[in-house]
Amino acid sequence: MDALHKELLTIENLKVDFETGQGTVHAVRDVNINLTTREILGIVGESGSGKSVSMLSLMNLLAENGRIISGSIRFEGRELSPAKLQTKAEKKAHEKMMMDIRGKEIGMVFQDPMTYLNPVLKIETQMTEGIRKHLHCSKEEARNRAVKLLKQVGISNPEKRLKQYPYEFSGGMRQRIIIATALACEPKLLIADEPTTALDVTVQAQILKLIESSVKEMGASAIVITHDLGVVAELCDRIVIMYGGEIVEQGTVREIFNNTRHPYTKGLLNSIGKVEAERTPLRYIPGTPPNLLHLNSGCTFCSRCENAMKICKEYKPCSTEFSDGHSCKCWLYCKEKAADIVATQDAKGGCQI
Amino acid sequence: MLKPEEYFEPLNDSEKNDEYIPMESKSFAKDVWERFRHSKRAMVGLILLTIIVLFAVIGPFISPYPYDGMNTSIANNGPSLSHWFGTDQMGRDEFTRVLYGTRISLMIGFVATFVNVLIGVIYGGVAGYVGGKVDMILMRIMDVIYSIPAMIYIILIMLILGSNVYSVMIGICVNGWVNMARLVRGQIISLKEREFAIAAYVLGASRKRILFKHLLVNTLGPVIVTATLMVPQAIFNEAFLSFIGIGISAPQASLGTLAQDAKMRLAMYPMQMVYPVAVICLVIFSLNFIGEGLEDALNPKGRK
Amino acid sequence: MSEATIRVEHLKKFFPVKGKLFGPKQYVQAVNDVSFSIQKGQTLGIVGESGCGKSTLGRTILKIYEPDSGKIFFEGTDITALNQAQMHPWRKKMQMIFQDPYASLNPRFTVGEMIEEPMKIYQMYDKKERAERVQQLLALVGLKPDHIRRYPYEFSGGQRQRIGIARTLALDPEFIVCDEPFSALDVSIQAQIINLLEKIQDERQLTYIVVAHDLNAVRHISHAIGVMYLGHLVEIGPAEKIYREPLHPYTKALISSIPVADPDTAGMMNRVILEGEVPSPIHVPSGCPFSTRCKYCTEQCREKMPVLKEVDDRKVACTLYE
Repeated sequence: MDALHKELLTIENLKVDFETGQGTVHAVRDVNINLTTREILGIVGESGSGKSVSMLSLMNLLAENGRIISGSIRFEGRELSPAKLQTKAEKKAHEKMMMDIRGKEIGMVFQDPMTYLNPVLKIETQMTEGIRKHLHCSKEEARNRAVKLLKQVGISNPEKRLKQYPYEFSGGMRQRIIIATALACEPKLLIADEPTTALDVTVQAQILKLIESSVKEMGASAIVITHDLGVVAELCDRIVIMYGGEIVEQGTVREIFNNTRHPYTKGLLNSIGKVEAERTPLRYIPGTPPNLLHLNSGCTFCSRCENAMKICKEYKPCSTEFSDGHSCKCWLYCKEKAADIVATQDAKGGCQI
Repeated sequence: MLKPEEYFEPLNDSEKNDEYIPMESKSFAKDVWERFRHSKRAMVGLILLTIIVLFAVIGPFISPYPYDGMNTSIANNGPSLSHWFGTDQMGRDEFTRVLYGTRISLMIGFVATFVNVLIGVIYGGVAGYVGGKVDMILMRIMDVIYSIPAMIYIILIMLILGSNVYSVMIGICVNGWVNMARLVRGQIISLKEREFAIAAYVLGASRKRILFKHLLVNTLGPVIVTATLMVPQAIFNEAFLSFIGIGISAPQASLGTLAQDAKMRLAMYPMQMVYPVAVICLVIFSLNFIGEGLEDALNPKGRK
Repeated sequence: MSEATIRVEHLKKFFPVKGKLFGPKQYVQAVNDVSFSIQKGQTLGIVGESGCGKSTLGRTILKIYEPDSGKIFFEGTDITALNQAQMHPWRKKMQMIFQDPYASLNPRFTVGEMIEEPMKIYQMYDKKERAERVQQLLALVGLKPDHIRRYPYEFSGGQRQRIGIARTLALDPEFIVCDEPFSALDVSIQAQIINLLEKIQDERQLTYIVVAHDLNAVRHISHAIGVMYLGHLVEIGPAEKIYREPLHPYTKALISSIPVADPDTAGMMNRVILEGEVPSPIHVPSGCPFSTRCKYCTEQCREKMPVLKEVDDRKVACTLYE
């Protein structure tokens, strides 16, 4: 780690549960993520893989029935996870700290620009609100800052545009406004949850460029959540692959794409992109994503995995380190440690989720 | 238990246990009932209503007194072993009359609601599904019907058919279906744009089939809830009409008529007022509880 | 050449919009002067951005919307003017697969009822044969026999899409419009559905129109690709040609904006990034609709809409190639 890249965010053993009518859903289990400054991290996964939930818990924005069970989230040395808080006073102080961090030190961009902006408020009101609160400045200063930001994200005639309502903007424009708002207080971390999914392809390229350049310019870090491997390949330095609420593989973009380890990642890479001219059947991952209400005790991917072994169904694999922070959770790579792992998991009474 | 030497044997397809699907598949009705059962208030309402309905249906048959049998020698007696609720000023058994009145009130409530739902669902369904000019005309007709106060219809019908149960029922039904029609129309308009309705069209289903088999079943939830809340409304309307003296007349009794009778002797025999009013309250409470319970059971995500 | 399964000539579909009380009447120009034909057993992919009219095109061909002008031929028969009752025998042969497997299945029907329904509508087979057919169809799309008593909410997105496909196949159609069949599905499931659609096509000689905004997904399944922009077909030709060397400036931009899942080539891509966004389909620019965003735009482009012209075994509507 050099001077340019300092530790910014550390997530350790994060566990998030949701109480539903049908039982408890273990939406995120055992998630470990490290993020340094000036780094763009991509989190890739299918719907229900826990990628959005882990980022929402980082911001303490989980839905009412969701709870962080355990684990720590450290952001510049401060603990963001409310899991260990006991007294009411502690909780209150924690919530106050989160209010300051949200929007100021961590900015967020959401998937659907159509629903994120309040339709009855002018763009100006929505943009300056956060600026005034976090930077403690006058209305005038806040507006000037908003104008500058809009210009920066490529919206022409910003003075006039500030006076307009969200419906007067197209989808791509709205996403630009949301990015501008998220960047307004110069956050140290920008979280973008599927920022281009709701947009057209030709606009998608513009928005990705915009996120990349603004983050680099400010010297901030970013976490981009997406299901599209194409997006991360272009934008990110490092990738985390999630499946069924767990991280199955993480590493630098090049490592993941060129030295793919986990069968799920391999399947994902196979099922997209590399299209041959002839109509040979596409290689694909069979089966359906796991039902988080009914997990087996072993590897979550086991039922769809072409390399599945008997041990996969019963016991959880441990994470194996390869080079350069590239790690992967799969029995294929920790066979020699099998006896130990089985013993510890048996001692705990099977696998504790 | 897995043996160490078996650890790395490949798992065959049947062992992978793919695609978990719950053992039991629940139909819509069963699913709703299961959620409904878990609401205490709704179950209290349901049990209460069942008891009241049972009493109202069976009661008059097993009671030793006829509802209109007068015996002036025992007029205005208080409660006793032979007359549980006492007697009224004509010496009629109050308990029998309350049971009989409950029966009439419930009948009016349920029959009027049934008719209202039937008219409302079909009218609203057709207006919403056909749309365009037909919708315009149907809606304007509805506006006209709705713009005249219910009271005027009821008084007019009473003049023609006399004051009896049927004219009250017809009176309540004349414009009681309008809200239901509005509700169904709104639902149908949004449902008909849904992909499953277009899918049915592409599959060659006739318009009648799409409306009745695909669209209306999907409005069932809100329709049931609204209907449950329409019953107490109708009972209350009838009681109100009878109470102000233009509903059902003696010797026939509804809960409203009984209250109206008791009104004159309220200062001397307040209990005669308490019985019918208490039953009205219980009926309305239980139906509202059931309605609420159904609403929660039908929209499980709505309130949590 | 034999008779095309589907031939569309100068098809036009405008939707009136509620404008100002006394202004001139305004229209969304969803499909404007589109012509093409598809041979039996072939797939035409229609790509374009949201609002380009690709979904409307699919639905107009199936007569879900009445076309304003132009003609639709199915196996040589003009079906443009037929009403729903007259369409009845044709509907059986022309089917549709929908985008959202959550919305396209009636939540109150069991899977069995749903797949059986089209056969009931057409009074095909008797009750026992229908039950057998339902089982065959379930097996064909890869679902289990005991799934028939279950309700759609119990299935995942990919499984629901399979149910939708089984229902469509119940009528033995010859032509299917697939409206964004992959876009609501996870990446790992998309490939399953693509394979399934291709397998069925090869077995039954089906003709497809696949409407999609995801250029990657549609590439594998399509024999030919049509690119739409603001209601106009701007380029149409063999899929590989279009992807390898697009001619129309819009197609070029579209193809080059596909994110490449390969970090080694991603940075080196010579990407055409378009300025601005698609204009509203109510106010389509005069002349070539793409002229407002095109860097090769000339005076001529702004005045006259170029016609589709044969260039290098495909058709392009651009003044550059006239």
